[in-house]
Amino acid sequence: MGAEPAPPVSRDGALLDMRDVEVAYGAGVLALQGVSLHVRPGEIVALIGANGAGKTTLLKTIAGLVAPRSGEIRFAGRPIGDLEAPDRVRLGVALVPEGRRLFSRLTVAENLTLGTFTNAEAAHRREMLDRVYTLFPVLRERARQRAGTLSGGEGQMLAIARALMSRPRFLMLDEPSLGIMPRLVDAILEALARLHRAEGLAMFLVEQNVPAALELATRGYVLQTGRVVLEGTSRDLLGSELVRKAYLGM
Amino acid sequence: MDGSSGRRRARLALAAGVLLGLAYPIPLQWSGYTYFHTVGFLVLINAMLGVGWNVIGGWAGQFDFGPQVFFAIGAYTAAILFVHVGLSPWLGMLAGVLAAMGICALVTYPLTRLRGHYFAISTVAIWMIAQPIGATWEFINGSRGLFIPMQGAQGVLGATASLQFAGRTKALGYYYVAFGLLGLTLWLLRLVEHSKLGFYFRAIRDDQEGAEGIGIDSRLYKVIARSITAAVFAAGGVLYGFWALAVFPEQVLDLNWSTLPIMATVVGGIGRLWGPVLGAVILIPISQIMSTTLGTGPLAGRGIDLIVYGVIIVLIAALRPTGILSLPWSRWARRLAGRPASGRLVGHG
Repeated sequence: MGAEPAPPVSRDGALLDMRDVEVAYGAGVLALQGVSLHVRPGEIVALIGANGAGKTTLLKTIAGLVAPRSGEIRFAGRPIGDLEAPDRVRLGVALVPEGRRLFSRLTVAENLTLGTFTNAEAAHRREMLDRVYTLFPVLRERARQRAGTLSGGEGQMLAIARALMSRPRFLMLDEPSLGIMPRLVDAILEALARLHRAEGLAMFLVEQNVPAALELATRGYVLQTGRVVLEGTSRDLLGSELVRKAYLGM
Repeated sequence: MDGSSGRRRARLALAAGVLLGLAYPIPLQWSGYTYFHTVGFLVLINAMLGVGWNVIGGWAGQFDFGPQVFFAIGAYTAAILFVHVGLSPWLGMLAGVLAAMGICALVTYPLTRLRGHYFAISTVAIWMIAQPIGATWEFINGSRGLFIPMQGAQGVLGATASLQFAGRTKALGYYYVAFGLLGLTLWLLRLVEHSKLGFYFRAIRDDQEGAEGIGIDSRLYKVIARSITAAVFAAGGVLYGFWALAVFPEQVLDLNWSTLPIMATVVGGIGRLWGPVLGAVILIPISQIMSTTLGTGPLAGRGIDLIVYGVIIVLIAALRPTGILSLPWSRWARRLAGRPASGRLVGHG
């Protein structure tokens, strides 16, 4: 499939910089082929693609949960391809995984506290808790409830809050609106926008809800069968024929 | 207020349990019939092993069917050091615990590549490998095993120091040593439960990918969890070896050293610190009393106690898979005290 000419974007000073990354599952089934992309500090970037395009694999590769076959991944200028997942969390890479993956038999507060163990000393824990409780006040009300008893939307809020507890510099979100009622989706996206305004946290957002994703993001990439087929500003993508046809149904 | 009264009740229950446990053998001692001391000793040792198994099985959520390997390593280490070097059994216990933890870490790290049933099967495989080693290794006397000579220490202190009790006080002495070791295990593991480690273990159990996503090295912490389990089993093995005055492979590698503690844990409440204690108090006397009272009658022979165990496990699995301790005891206690549970919410709760 021919890619539309992408606008040249400077990758100088990129926070995350991936070049020619290839990931293979099993005997040579390529999940990602020559993927190059970057996210600058303070930027929200959307990743768009159909089911099976490789979006989750891409995020897991950045988080260190999947090992690429070739290519280079740099974070804040430093190659991180050889680092284990916990070391990447320590550098400030955080992933809110698809399906939330909460610790269902632990309380909300315990889930959050676990998020701090890798990075923060006990003194910072209080401050971090206050921060995420301000962002998602419902979590404060539910603090002593088991995470397994939360609704889908509340669970997603907890998953995001837990990732924030590690004080990331780069937050990856894998389908945060999946299976959540629309009112709560809006609340979650608004909270992310507020977080971005307040702290300028860089985010990489995988989302099926393309209009919402491109509204939040300034730039985006379109992934199809493991390749980046299109990249550009959100406005360009919303105007492109590929995105309008395939993802907006216009 | 509700939380603090619940805590007060828990503390009362603990105090009552400790007193009951301490007092239990005293009236029996006068009768000179020490059989029930031995039942108590087996309850305590299995409770202790169950509390240890809970770390890998209940908290970290990894089914380990081969912890008896570490029971054997503990027993052999202390016995060899005692027989060859004359080392005190308590120092031997320390050495056995350290040896079991070290070997456990080395053996378990590769196994943590496996998950779920495959991990469980691999722990069984390690046990199967251990059996021929135990039966043929000449250094530990192969299948003949090691006999622990009596030292003939004097007095309560001397007997305790040499972990050898004889004559009329034998059963009583081992009962209280097991009681103390169970208490120590519970105290240490309670600290672990509320520490970072305890939370890491349970996070891995609830969602391994989620745990890795926030920077928990799941393989490392599974190894740590199983090594803690191994430490408890090793200490139990030392105690058992000195109680039996012999260590041989068929005895210390017996499958019952994992099945009984695991069943006690499941019946009492998996993942709950006190679950295995309750389970052992219920299950162990059943097997002991059945196998002795049935004697030579029509129901005699091996296996009746296992049938009863099977029924209990099926009942627990069907009615309360989270174990007896997970039943709403505090609500029942309130109701028994004449205060309806629902009234408290509206009132001054």
